[in-house]
Amino acid sequence: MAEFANPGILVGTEWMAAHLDDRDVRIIEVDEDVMAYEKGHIRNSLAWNWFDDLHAKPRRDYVGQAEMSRLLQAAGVDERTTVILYGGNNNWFATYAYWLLRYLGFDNVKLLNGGRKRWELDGRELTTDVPKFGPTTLTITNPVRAELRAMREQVLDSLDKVCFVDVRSPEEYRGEMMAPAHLPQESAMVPGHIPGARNVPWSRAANEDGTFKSYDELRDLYGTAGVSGEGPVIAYCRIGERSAHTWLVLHELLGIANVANYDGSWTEYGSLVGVPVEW
Amino acid sequence: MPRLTGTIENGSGAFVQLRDGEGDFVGEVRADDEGRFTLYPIAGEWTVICLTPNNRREQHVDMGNEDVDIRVSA
Repeated sequence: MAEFANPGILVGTEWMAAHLDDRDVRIIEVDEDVMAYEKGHIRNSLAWNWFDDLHAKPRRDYVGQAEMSRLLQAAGVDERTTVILYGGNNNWFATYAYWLLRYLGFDNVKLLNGGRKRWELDGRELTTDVPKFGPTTLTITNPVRAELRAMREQVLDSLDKVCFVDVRSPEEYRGEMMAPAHLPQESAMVPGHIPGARNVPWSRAANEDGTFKSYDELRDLYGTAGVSGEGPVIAYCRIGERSAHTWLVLHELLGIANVANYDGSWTEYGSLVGVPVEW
Repeated sequence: MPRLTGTIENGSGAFVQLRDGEGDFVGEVRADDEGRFTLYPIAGEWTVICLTPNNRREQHVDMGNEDVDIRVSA
């Protein structure tokens, strides 16, 4: 069985349990359920709110390098620190934070494979104690990696030229639903998908316990769907979080070089006037 | 939008996955302290998978346009 292209970006629950008190490790939960951390979390972990902490306001955008640097400083992250992200729902929002950190040029980041679910299914300890870490002076100095993010004009210029992967559920792809079945159904102005997009639901990359499938399984999954990685790939979903999970799979685990996350996703594309749409 | 509600016996805090007719994971919620959960699937065939440490339960559900309430036994 082949190994992931970058196996070092993942840590297992056993490794995590052995590094809870490691001063060079900072554990951060980013969860779709923003109340989950308060109810119980991995000891010595902090929480980032996926919206309040990571989104710019009032416009629709993410924080920039300066804001992210301040967030890392407040979490006690310095040049020696490795950030370990975890969250619920197959690491859905934790992978989005991972993608955002890498986009903003911060590379000392890994993901707890399986996230909160694998940790809890292992019967491992949770706590409600909130740790405190002294602020640091860390500043992200790498340039922003614009190639990891697709913006609207790039998407419109890329129709029929790149491989689009729609990672929403088949029901959303076919235009039968506007959002996942556990969320309110508000979304774009019209249902459907970008013409020619392949539908590979993000969750097919995960096992039932939230861990990633093997390299061979993932290569077959995307290869069969026509996502060979020989050309540019743009992943999208509804608001850019599920597609961050697929971005991590394609770019970090399968080693496909040219993969971008279109975070505007269907809430943007499906509201544009005059663009082509398929059902 | 019809609601799918359920109660999982001994399912406090269970991970509750909704999978569609093709077996694809569509969403996941946590059961509350009494093992109750709510999902919002459209009409069709669905599978609810309930995961707790050392326990996995699965139940098929046919959704129409009305609310459905299920009980997932131990």
